[in-house]
Amino acid sequence: MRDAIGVAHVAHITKDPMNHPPARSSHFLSALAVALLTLPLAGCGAGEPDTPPEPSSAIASNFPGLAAASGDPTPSSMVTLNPAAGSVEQAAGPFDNRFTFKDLRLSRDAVRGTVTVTSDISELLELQVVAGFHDSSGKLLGTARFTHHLDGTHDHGGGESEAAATPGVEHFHSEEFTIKVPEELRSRVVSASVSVPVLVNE
Amino acid sequence: MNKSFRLAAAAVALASIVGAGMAGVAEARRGNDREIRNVIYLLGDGMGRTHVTAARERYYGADGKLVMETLPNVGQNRTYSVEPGSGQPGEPDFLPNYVTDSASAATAWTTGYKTYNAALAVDAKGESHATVMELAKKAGYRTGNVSTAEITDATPAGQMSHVLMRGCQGPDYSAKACQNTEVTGKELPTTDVRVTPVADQIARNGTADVIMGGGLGRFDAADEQALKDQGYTVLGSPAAQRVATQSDLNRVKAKKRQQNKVFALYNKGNLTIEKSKRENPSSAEAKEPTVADMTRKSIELLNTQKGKKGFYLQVEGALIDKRSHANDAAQTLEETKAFDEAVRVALDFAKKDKHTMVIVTADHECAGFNTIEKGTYTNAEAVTPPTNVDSGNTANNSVPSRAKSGKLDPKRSSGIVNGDGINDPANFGPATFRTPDDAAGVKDGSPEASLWLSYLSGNHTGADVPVYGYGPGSQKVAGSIENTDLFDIVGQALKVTR
Repeated sequence: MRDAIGVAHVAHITKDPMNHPPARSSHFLSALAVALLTLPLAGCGAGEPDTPPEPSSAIASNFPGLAAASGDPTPSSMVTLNPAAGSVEQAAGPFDNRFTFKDLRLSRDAVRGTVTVTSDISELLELQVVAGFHDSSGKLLGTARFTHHLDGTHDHGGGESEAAATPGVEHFHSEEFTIKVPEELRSRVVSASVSVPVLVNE
Repeated sequence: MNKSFRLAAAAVALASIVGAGMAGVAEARRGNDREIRNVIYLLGDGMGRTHVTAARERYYGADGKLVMETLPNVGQNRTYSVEPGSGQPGEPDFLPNYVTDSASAATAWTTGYKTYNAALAVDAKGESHATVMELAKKAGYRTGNVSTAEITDATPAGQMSHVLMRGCQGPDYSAKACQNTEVTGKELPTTDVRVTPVADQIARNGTADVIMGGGLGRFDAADEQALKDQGYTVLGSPAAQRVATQSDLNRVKAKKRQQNKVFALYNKGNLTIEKSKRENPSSAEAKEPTVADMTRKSIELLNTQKGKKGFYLQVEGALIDKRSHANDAAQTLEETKAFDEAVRVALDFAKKDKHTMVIVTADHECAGFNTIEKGTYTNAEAVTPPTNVDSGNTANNSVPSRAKSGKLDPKRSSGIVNGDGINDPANFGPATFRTPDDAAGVKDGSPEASLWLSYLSGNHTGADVPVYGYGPGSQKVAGSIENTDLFDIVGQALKVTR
């Protein structure tokens, strides 16, 4: 190694043939030893592991600018819809290409129908159908929901039904639902809208 | 020995030590053979032992190998989860659940904690834990997350979000889908990350620099703006609900020593299965990239840092599981092959790079996929299961007693499900596939085809799954390991865990 050789060379040429005390050479060697010990070595300790980050500081849990939800939101497409009297109209939602509605009908006390998930046949984890209730001017008076949850519970009536098996056609998950019109609105509701804001398959 | 000589000798010794240290530094800068800078973690969702065997035989014959089977270190991964409220293995309140789902399995390897089915990066008592991707990001690695499912789905989301319930995906919050009062006691405020929709988290936390997959329908205009504000190049548009395409992907160029943050979703839902893309080449869906394409581009975008810290990339072949749930063996085989091609991309990179660990595994087995003897039938197709009494040695008798073996029941199985039984929706008889070991002219769906495949159910099973490893440190996957061990193996490789 070059440094070791250099030091040995210096030690040789400073040897005093008269054996006088080699004060300057010993000071030099001492200084060299100190310099070598304190020489900054970039990456020295590269064999040692980096300090892992503190786990709790790595969890991303704050989202500046994101407004916290104030509850299950009303689909914005429902607010501007004006369904014809006596009808149930579908309001646009994020999953419209993943399901179909069938047999939608409005009675004085409820919206009923069947929703069939067509995009996936793995287990249905979450499904929510929102019904909007409109007055004669189209104004949205209120909403109510049907939910299918992971544990198989259903709210607001309805339940699973088997879609008719057709050769060559994948057998999809269907849910019949009944969403009650809130009693305080029944005298004013003339039409309804439905939308699916929550849909998750396994 | 005079003083000068002693000093000279000490200086020589010191110089030797210092010189050795400097040589070590130079070697570290060049990279020694054991130093890991990158980890590529590939996950075949639902890919059990038979999925690998069947795909091997289908595409390469009995004596062939999938790419993943060429990785030198091989082990078995135990996948069980735990019940809500459970402690960890070894703790007094430990309550195992023998069959996991993708969420709790993801949590196991991303955080090192067993949890209940549906939980993502929270333990069974509802506490959040840092994921290995979050730790890697914090430590200065580049990070990537690729999936053929919606990226808000369990496997990708398990690296870059924390939720009590995997159904809390977005775009909207739903109390029913997001809260879990069985675990938390009462509803959490909606400011809590654990009930914040996954899409909202992914769009804002910057955990993954490169994000590719499906699920555009769960993101909206506010998410697009949040991504752009963080410096992401957004391919397609969540605001306009316009999916990204392969052409978009090809136009993105990696810039050296830059962040290269890319967000690209190619379908509003899951990506399209390969069989359908192959059979419909002019469809819009055929423009979606393959999982191998996404892996290749992600590596290109992430591999731009010099020095000891490279990147951590997770890649999921998600549709193996989804098509196994459907009991569609043809689709399952093609998805397994497509996933294996992503393994090829990762392995080719690792072999050239020499500082990359590659791990290939699954989260669980799906549907009890199995190879049965040619010409036979499963119990589910039979009038009754096999005989189980032995008149010669009653010690062998089982209960309930069956004196005769069940014959094939024509009402329950009307033929090979991809052959003469194809028009019977109630049919679940074996699907048969030709392999390179068959003579030319042998067709899929025929009784002459070599590979006879069956499914047990439409759900997950509790079987251990294979795990393969390549590169420095990957010998740790050999043996019977817990899925939580994978957190330690990856974390220690990246030096982000102790």
